[in-house]
Amino acid sequence: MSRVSETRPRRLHLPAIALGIGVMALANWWLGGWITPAEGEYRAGYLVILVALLLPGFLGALGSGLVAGHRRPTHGLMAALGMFAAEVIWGAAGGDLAIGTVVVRALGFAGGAALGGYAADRVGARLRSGRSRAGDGDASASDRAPLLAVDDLTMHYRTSDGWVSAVDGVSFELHRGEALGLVGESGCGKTSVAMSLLRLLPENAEFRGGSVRLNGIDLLDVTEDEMRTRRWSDIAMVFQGAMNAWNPVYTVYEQIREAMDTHFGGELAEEQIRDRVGELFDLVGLNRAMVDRYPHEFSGGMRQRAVIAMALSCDPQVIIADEPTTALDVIVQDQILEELKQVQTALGMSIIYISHDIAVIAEVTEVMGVMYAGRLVELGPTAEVFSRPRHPYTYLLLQSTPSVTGPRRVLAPLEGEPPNLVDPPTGCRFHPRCPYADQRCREENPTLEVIDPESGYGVACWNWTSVPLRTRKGVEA
Amino acid sequence: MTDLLEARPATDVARTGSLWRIRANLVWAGVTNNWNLFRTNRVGIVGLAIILFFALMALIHPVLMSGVRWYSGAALFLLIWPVVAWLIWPLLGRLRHERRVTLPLTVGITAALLVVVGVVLGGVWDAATYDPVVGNEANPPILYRTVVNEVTDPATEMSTREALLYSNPDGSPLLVGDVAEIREQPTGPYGRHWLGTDPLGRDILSQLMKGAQGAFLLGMVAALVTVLFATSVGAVAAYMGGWIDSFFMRLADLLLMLPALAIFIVMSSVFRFELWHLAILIGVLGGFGGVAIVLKSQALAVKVKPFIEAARVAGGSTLRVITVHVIPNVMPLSFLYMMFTVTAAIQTEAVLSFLGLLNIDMSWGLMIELARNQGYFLTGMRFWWLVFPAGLCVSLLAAAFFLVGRAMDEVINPRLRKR
Amino acid sequence: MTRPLVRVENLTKRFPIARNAFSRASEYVHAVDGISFDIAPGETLGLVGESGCGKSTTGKLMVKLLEASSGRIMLEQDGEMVDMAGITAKEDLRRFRHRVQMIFQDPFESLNPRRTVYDTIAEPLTVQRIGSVREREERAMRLLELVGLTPPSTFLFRYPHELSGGQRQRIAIARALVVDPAFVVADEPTSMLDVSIRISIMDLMLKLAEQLNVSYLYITHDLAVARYMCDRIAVMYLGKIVEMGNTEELLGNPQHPYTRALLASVPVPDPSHHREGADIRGGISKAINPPPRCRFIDRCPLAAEVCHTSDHPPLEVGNVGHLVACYRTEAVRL
Repeated sequence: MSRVSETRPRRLHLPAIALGIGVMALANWWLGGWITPAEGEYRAGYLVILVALLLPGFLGALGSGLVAGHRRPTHGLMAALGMFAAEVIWGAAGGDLAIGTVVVRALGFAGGAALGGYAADRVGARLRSGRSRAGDGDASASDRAPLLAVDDLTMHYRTSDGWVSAVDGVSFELHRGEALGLVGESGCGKTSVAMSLLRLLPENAEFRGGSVRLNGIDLLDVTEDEMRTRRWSDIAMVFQGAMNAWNPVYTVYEQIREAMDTHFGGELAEEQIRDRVGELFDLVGLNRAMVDRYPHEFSGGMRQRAVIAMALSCDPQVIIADEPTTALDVIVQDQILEELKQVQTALGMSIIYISHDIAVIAEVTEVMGVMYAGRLVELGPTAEVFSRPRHPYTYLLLQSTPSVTGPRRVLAPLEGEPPNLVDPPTGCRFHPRCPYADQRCREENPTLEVIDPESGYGVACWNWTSVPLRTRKGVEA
Repeated sequence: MTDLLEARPATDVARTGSLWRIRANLVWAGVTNNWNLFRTNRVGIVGLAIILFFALMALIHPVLMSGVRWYSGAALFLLIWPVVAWLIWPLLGRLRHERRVTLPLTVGITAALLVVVGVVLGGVWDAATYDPVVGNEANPPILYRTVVNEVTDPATEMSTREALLYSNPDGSPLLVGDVAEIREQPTGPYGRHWLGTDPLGRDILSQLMKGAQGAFLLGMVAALVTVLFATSVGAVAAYMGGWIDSFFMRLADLLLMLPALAIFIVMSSVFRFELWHLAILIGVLGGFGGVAIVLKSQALAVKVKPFIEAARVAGGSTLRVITVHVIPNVMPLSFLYMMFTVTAAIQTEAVLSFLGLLNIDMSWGLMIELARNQGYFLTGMRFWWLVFPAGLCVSLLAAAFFLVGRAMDEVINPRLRKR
Repeated sequence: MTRPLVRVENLTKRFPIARNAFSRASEYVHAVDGISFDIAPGETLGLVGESGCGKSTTGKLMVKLLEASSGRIMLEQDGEMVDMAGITAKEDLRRFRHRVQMIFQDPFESLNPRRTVYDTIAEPLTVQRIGSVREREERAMRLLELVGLTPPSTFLFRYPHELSGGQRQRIAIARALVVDPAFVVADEPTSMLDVSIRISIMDLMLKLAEQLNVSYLYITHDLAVARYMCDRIAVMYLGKIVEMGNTEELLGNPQHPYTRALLASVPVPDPSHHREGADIRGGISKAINPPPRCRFIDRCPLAAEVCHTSDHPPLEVGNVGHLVACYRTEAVRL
């Protein structure tokens, strides 16, 4: 794939170090005479040096940072490191400077460079967000406009084996008050999509294109600081595995209060927060008296309820629930899902459910997308996806799902295993497991094609017309 | 029902060949794989290069001191051929692709190279002068220093006070204006002694090489003993639990509480404390002490894995479960601690030698100690060759093992690896 | 009725809760409390329940990874029923390991990462010194073929990390079947696998059960999976079997309020299907020195006077032809 092999300027440490050394050399040559204090005036001399060297350090790092277009201040620090090294070497080799002078000079450069790196980071971010805002004018026009619009989202992970194409051209829309489900097997990219929406991705992830517009603002373009405030107030997340979402050394109340403090900037009084947390506990079916308990005093189901309360604490517009009930027993799962549904209707919230369990998605969502190997292969109203799946993968997945109702055992289960995304299959990524695949599927990648404009039903398959009408063919016991 | 299992002739068994050969290949593949991971770690490679450098120093010393040239070449060849072949093999890579350089040829080239090295370097140092312990430079350079009242340059002048130590060749005392001929004994680096000589006229470079031998011996023995004890103690304590666990863990606590250096000092005052005593003692202290605790916690994590239960369901005895299933899974961590033990051993040895508590002919710590008790400390950088090279060697080698350990940690621990 | 292969009578396991190292435990968790069941040759019995109900402990007792506190585990051996709970002699244990094997839940953890596929599969043969090296190798190959990993020679000397989850679970199945056991305990063997792989593993286990005449004790929390796999289902709650019967009959006409709640909570992959939802609240607790009355009483919507005053109800054949342990089955039917 040409997309996988394309490279981008990433962290340019070596140039930064080189630049640092260059600036250092220039400064030594140009300022050399008067930044070395004469004997006996060391104390004042050091101050002069420190101030005099802050400026070249600052300018050097700022310049290099802007040129490289970096996102982190490590760049400036790298430049500083280069300067420090050069200074030490110069001092040692020249031999005519006292060790104190060398250190102070290096510190001067390093400090300036760190500041410069930081400034470059801020200026760069400002420039980028300014650019994106300019193109944003016409968005959020009508009420029918979706709350969240994900368009052609593409994201890759860098691994030791190569680039993993984790999310490839995923597009969907979420309207106000809607529950949308993303279903797929592990490694199909559904969690990566969620993490992309929140921009909570690991170091080795890289966006290759697309946009995530919340109320018309592209979340992929805002600064990290802005994203931090949006993360709880606009989009909140109910994590997979409620056990790890809590810090065991603080009470649940303290942890929710911290999230609210960060969001509301401490303008809420203690009583207000306490009332709010109490209300949230009522809402999710927990006893108010539990707020001051530690997480380990909660059972698994209660912990998950508390996580939902925390997600609701800052009035988010969208909640992403990533496998919210996977670790729970079936009776508790049922209760939690019921609770989430009630909260959603009560608050008019939009929820994105992410699950590997197609039965859960069937029960709680109105619209669902099926993901396979990093791509969205089917998207439509949940009832229709279940009653008449168009994509062979969805069809076979439904056939393969055991159920306590309907026929006991199904025929034609899904064969094989999902592909390795370091080297995904050409064409349609499902073709090696697909009984309907032909030459075209092997060569060309089908994009999500809307086949019913009314409901917005989309399917990414060349041969969707050959998929049989769904009849759960099976063998009775 | 059993027909299904028995009936088919196993057609591919013949092709798989001997089981041992396959296993050897698998082990080799594992080593290659780990090496490829290790290789990407620059810190680890730097550490490895330093270790190899010191190993070379240690190995080449007997060659330099040997009088029989062909013999030293051969000995060198036998000792370090694999390392050298391994180093030059990639260099020959381009040629290999053209299939002109085969393995035998590489062996030949390497052998020839080493024999040449042996013949050229063999015995270039005569024992009387260069022996690290009993050697002595009989003809040090003579320094001419004028006796003056006010010294401005200590290299060419000496004060009247210092002049009292020397006399004229005819035995008369030195007066102001006389020129003293001094056979200076700690000599700075010059042609015959690349790193100078110590106050007793012995070659510093030769001493460094001899010290490297001791450091390696000590580090390796200490590390092996540590790993041997720590792995078995950790695995047994974790798997058996109960009073065995309590016993070994209390023992470990006890050993951790003991002030090791104080014990070494006491022991050296009680009996002749040899290098290998120290090695085994460090090994035992680590093996039953701190390292055992670390390995036990690792073994505990392994013990609760379902594959241990699976092995028990398969009918494995306790001994088998420990040796086949628990120990191999804590082994990587124990190798890591092996590296850290080497670091600790080298440092401890330097400290003890410096305190003069080790019954040893030559070591890096001893070199520094000699400089100190002959009064060459606190003289600035004037006699740098007495202290600086030995100190650098201790730090470098200790750091090198530590770096290799850290790099191995990343190889073993995929979570630490940058993806 | 055919002669059972496995008969469990009054199996009990209590774990002491030690307050500290010096006092003797006065409190016990009754993890498994007097359960009894039979398994016929070639039959699959499903053990269903929430986490903490004692189903995994039962599985471990059956393969002697844990020793029972009391009760008997009888295994058919050369036409006789032999009690396996008390055996300690090496020879007996060896024969036991030949007849009873286990498949574990997590295929990523149940294979030793430092051993090749061959080592893992041949492990039972190696430790029991069965056959020569060559014979073990051939047998491992056949097993690989049997579990659908073909060609076997390409898998024989690979390490677990080179295999996918489904392939690993196939290896685990091969390891369990290599000694040709009559009875296999399968502890949630598909719960860690993806949906698309789950079915193929279950189909494989069904196929092998038929071909090799193996009986399974299939432990699962998922009623849908149990329905797919098992001939009979036993529902466990806090160490007790509360209901047991033929799969379709039990699921079609559940008698115990707990079974009904469990069944009502299972999400159905069909948006047009409307479930009533469970009418019980709260979660499962721990059976620490439980009073002798019905274990389910705290969560039961039907609890009446008789439930509070009587012992835990016995597992009896009710009016519907399967076993149920409840005093209030009449109320359930209303």
